Amino acid sequence: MGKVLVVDDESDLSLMVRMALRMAGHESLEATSGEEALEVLAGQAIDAMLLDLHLPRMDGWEVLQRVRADPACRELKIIVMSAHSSPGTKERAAHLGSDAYLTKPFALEELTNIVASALA
Amino acid sequence: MTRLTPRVGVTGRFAIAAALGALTVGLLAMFAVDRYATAALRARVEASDRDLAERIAVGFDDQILRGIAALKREGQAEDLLTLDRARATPALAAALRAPSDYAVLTLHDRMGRAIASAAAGSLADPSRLPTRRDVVDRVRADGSAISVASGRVPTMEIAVAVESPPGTVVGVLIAEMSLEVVGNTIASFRVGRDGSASLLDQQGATLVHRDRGRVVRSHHVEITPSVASSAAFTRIDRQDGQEFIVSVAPTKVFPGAVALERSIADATGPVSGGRRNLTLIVLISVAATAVAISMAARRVLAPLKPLAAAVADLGSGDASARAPEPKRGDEIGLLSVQFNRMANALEERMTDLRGTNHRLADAQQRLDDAFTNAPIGMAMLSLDGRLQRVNQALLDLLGYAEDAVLGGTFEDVAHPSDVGRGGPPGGADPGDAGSVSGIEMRLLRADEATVWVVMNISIVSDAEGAPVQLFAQIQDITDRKAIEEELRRVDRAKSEFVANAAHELRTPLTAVSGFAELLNHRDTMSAEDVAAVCAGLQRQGTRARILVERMLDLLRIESGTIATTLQPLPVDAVVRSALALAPAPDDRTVEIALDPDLVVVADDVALEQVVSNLLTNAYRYGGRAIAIRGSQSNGLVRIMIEDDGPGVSPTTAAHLFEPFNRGRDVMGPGSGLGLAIVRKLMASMEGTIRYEAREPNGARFVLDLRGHRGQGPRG
Repeated sequence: MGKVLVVDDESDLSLMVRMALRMAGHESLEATSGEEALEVLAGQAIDAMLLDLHLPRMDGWEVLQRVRADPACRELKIIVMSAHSSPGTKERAAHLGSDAYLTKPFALEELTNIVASALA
Repeated sequence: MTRLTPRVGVTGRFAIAAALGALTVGLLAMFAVDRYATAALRARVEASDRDLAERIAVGFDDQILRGIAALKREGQAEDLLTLDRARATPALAAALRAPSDYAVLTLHDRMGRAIASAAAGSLADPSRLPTRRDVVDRVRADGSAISVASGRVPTMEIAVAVESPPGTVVGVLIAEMSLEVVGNTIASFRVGRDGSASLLDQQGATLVHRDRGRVVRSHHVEITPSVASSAAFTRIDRQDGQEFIVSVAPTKVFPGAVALERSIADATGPVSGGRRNLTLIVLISVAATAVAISMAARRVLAPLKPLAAAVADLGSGDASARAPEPKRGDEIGLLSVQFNRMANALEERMTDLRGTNHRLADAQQRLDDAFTNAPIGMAMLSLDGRLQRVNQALLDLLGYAEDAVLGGTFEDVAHPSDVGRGGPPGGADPGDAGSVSGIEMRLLRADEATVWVVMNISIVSDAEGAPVQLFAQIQDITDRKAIEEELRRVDRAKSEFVANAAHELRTPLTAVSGFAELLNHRDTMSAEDVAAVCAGLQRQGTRARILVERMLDLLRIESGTIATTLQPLPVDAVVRSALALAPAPDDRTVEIALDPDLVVVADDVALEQVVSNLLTNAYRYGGRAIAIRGSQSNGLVRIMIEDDGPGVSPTTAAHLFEPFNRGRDVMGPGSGLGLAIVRKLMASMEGTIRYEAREPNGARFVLDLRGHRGQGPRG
């Protein structure tokens, strides 16, 4: 239903999410780093981005800020993924412009629901 | 200290009292004797004088008679009157007035010897008058005057009335005084130089001195009827200074009186002598009394001396002092007995007291020792918090000398942040109930170091319960605080570790559960997808397992449950077996460059694990070419594992060996524990590991371990 970019340096996790997304009917792309993610975003129209905060070199926060600063990505739905579940992190993510927050570990159903609602 | 020897002792007082007593008695006796002697003497003199006067009177009368008889014989006294006393006086008077009459006067002394005589009559022939050897006009102190004839005067005198007719010369003896006894009275008349005469009164006798008819002096003598038969004394002082007693006695035969004069010196001679003797007797008796009394007193008081000595000895602390018990039972003896009893009781009590004092001193000493030698700091403080006494432990704790600390307060040595937490309980108000305990605060030592102490302060009260002092116990808890801090840190680290571990597990578990869930839909998945999911499951499951295993490894190493056996090992062999455990992937090369004889003292399993971990790390994060080198110097074996990869940034390098620190610039599914485990393993073999950057690029891990001595110092 939508084109979802999965940004995570853990390849197995990325694989799992992409398979789940595919099963839910979404098209998925992957990026293993922040720079790669920005490259992809610049090159294609993406509907939603699942963004892991913990990335090598450029971390998820920076990606979030850059993307939100980019007017071209205004419509992009960003779902932040993280093992951290502290309210501070969630607040910060929301403050920086994320649309949803997914705490690892998550059930697949949770994943698909959040994506669905973000794309809706 | 008051004088213990009396200035005037009892003996002295007795002696003085006795002497005064004897003196008084003696003086009274002297006085009485004197009066008695005088009285007796007077009586004796009176009696003898009376007797003498009688004899003289008789003698005088006799002489007068003879004189008159002689005159008669010589035919000169024809008309001499008879010696009829009753008529004598007027007759004599008449006869004496006769112009041709004359009288012979004779002065006799005591012995009846004639001293002088005088005749009165018409003196147509002056050469017939007897001459006087000496005539002394004496003026008596009482105003009377007597003419005395004789060189032997003044033993006796007789005054006779003489009248000479006018115109007659009465020779050189002028009896200026005359006494005439008429019956019981004396009547007298006088013949003066100029021939005048006067009549005296009849009640007494007045001795009148006339000079040329003029009364110069007069002295009256009372003659009472009783006196007529006794002598009357009059004391008279004569011009030449001698003293006389005059007695007047009537003559028997011839109407007249006899006056006797006797020197007082003679009369009182015996009395003076007696008085002198008496004085001597009194003085001797006084002295004897004094001596006798003092000797007696000394004897009585003799036992007092040893008693006094015993009292003095007892007073200066000699409990064994006793007085000698006397043989007789007088008051002093009794006192000695009582004293001894008292001394016995005192000695007992003193022994008890001494015992108690010893025990007290003992207890005090033990308390002092306990205080001084106590292993924790102790101090006695005044109620306002000033240190009065400290023990060595406290001084050691604070690092000050005793005199630097006494007089100060704990606030003086308190850490600036903790000022006000110490000090006396309840501030300066000692009335606050009780003590304070368990104050934890910091104090500054003399060398500026900080010590943590726990302080307990209690109030010391006197027997009435009033607070007098504060007692403080100060215990150094720096170590405990450090341990507490360490424990907290370790606790934090553990929590952090657990958090990190849990965190680390989330990712693989998310993947595992996610994959598993996906497999529920395998019917809708392609075979490749299913295979991929299974492979992913396996990978992530393994990853989780390895992570847990490594965590447990770390814990085991830390808790020491892994035993390391140190032994000499050939480095080459260990490295090769480590390489077997962690073979190089296809795109990596591992070069081993070390002396095959290099021997290290280590645990084989641990060293293998270290090297294999480092190799794995190099494969994951390092470059294409990996090298393992070894060398030795000074008993130290150095093994280096290096690669030519990107190396590690300095910031990451600082925390490289901490658990879960993969660093931001490395990717990969490592557990994050590999290097932490490696460091622990090295430590367990008494070795070290460090990281250094390789030039121009790459990472180098340097392992230092003990070399085997058998290789010699130069290796």
